[in-house]
Amino acid sequence: MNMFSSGVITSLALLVAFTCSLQTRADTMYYYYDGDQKIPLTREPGLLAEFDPKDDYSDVVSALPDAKPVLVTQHVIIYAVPQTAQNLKSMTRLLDRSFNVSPVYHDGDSLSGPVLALPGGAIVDFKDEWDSSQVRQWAAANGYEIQELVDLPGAQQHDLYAVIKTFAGQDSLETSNRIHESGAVVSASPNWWENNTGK
Amino acid sequence: MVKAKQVVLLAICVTWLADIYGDASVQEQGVETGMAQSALNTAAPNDPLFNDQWHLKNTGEFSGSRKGEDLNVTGAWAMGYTGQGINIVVVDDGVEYKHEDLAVDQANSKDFSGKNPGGIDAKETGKPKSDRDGAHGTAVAGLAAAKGNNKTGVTGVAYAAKTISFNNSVKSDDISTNLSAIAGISQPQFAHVSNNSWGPADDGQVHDEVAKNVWRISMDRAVTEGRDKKGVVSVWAAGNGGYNFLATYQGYNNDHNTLTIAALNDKGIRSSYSSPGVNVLVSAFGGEACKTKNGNLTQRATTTTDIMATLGYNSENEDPDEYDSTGSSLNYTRCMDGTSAATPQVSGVVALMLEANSKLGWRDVRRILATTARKNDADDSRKGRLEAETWRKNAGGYWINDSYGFGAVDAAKAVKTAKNYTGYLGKQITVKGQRSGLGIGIPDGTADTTDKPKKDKAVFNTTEASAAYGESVADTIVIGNSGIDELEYVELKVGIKHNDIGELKITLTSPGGTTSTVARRHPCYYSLDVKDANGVEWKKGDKMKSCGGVNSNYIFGIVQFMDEKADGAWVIEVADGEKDTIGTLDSWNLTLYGHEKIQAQGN
Repeated sequence: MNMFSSGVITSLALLVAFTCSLQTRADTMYYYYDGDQKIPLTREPGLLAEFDPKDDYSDVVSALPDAKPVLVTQHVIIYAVPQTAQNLKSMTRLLDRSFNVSPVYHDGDSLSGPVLALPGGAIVDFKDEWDSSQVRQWAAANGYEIQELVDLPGAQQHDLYAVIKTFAGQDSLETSNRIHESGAVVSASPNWWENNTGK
Repeated sequence: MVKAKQVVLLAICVTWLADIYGDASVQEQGVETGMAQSALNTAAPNDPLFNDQWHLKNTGEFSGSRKGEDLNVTGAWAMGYTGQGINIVVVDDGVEYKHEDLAVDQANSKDFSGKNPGGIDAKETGKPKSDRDGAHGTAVAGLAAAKGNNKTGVTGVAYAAKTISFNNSVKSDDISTNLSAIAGISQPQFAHVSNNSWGPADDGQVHDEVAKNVWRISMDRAVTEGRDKKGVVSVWAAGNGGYNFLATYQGYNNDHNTLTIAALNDKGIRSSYSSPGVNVLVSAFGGEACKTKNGNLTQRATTTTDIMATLGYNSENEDPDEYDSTGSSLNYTRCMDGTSAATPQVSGVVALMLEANSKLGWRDVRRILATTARKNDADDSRKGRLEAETWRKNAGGYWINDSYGFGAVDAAKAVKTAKNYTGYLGKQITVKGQRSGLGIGIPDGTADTTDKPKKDKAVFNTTEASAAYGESVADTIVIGNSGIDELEYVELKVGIKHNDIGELKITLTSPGGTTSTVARRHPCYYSLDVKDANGVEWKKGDKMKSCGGVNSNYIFGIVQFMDEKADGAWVIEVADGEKDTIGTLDSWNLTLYGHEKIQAQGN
């Protein structure tokens, strides 16, 4: 996992994103792959997601004292962040250095889509002819760490999926897109957090 | 009164004829009898709270309730089926595996919540740590498969079945796309039924969930590879968004591999929160939100297992969940409502069916549930009946209803049909049709956009009734030589340019003339506190100005065309219900799932 280079890319991407968001609020430059479909994402500029929050410390609150929680669950706190120039800079720095803070997106090309965030991880579907040793070789050659390898039973001899370990946030999105666009695999998608609930 | 007797006689004759001819696939859909089929009701478990479980046997003694509005499961038990040998996977926020009235297969249970110490993960303590961690899953598990006839607590529908807990922390807004969880949900070789009383939050957004590709693949595997290739039966809650928030707005419910379940109250009428939808297969009983007066219930939900002692829903000093009046048992709650409560009842019925006939494929199960369902709430003149609560017949000859699907589940009838079943569905045929490059302008509606209906049901009905849809536009796909004699399910995708799907009514009409509405004018709500593009602050639950555009990847599922023919002209119609915004219908496509005409086979 090339955390350093992805972090730099993240910084640049977010700098551009935040600059644009000052004028347009919602940013639609992001995308991900769902199978073979390329899906646009719209960034929610005033929200951040902090995963696995600690009881006595928050990366978000530490960097952005006026951030306010708008959704609190066991695994994630979504914060609303006032859109000041200072906060935008702080958000960029925070996203660049934090391991557990993610931007918040809407699925699709508008702010009306379902809310998504990135707790970390890229889900990769490998070609049917690959076995687990080939998957491990591929991961090692590309600097990826396999968090979990799952063999779905099926008609084929193998149908291997893996979760590639990434940081929360943009690293998950960029890693997924990079793997998908490499053409070496069937598909790669971020491991999304979605707002599900019991009925 | 005379009329009611004639109806009962007709029902008996239909069942008798089906028995004689030995082809249960020809059984007529159940008809409203106004009472349970008491001839079969000879088995009553000795569990002390059984009498409070009106969803199992509704005596009608509770004020306002209606006798016989229940699962008719005692008849299935009397036939000797209790779920023995069947495993029901409860995908939820964990199940208390040491509960006195649950038989949880701990070895096969899994914790996919990862960092969550709650639910089944708390194996050392046997008890979730947070107050309500695992409470939802524990209540769901009890409705499906609490131990029965053990002189303890409550009775599950399949009371000899085993529960397997997959803790995905779904109650806690957690990660649902985690790969391992997805794999676990759909792939276990030991699973017979997968119960999913969860989904996107019912807070209003139209495309509340776009089911992801890896999930869809996993579901495909579950039905093609699970249960020795006969398919795991995946049962899903329709959702609690109420009348205005259709189950077709939720991605998981639209998948052709899922069975969507709506909820009824103890009068046999749509629970006020239950989402209608043309993807609803059948209904079971969730009741209404508990209400008490002076410690006595005045409005009922369901009674089931709760986390033991003071954790969970029923804790000390917590009215109305408390059970003081019946022995102060903190291990049970009488206030489990929602389509979450209705869904495991159907999972339990499916377990009974699979015990009666292990050869059933999951599609056979779906078909039997639909064709044996009872036409509940059948009085067309009932005061307050809403448009989506009206019955109509599809071209396959079945009564259908957007709120109830094919009707209320009739466990005894479903199990009896399963036992005698010979009409096994053959290989599933899939056919696609597509139109693109249309650019058909959708005329503007005339209703005021500020008159957007509110979440409140009564207000919504008023404004929905006043919605002035503009002239609808239509387009046709002709299917020919599909090889499908009897449809099972239809998936629809639409490519529409319009900036607010909340203004649109979208219908699909089959060659047989059945019209199903997949979307209609409705409001959307903010799911989080946010600022809009103008810097205006909105709170969670506030109504959005627009529901947003139409996602062309979104799939609408329809089960209402069951047993209709696939060949012929399929017509989509789109109408705009509000002024100010116009759009175009650019493309649409259909995926039709069905089979050749059923040939009865020997057992």
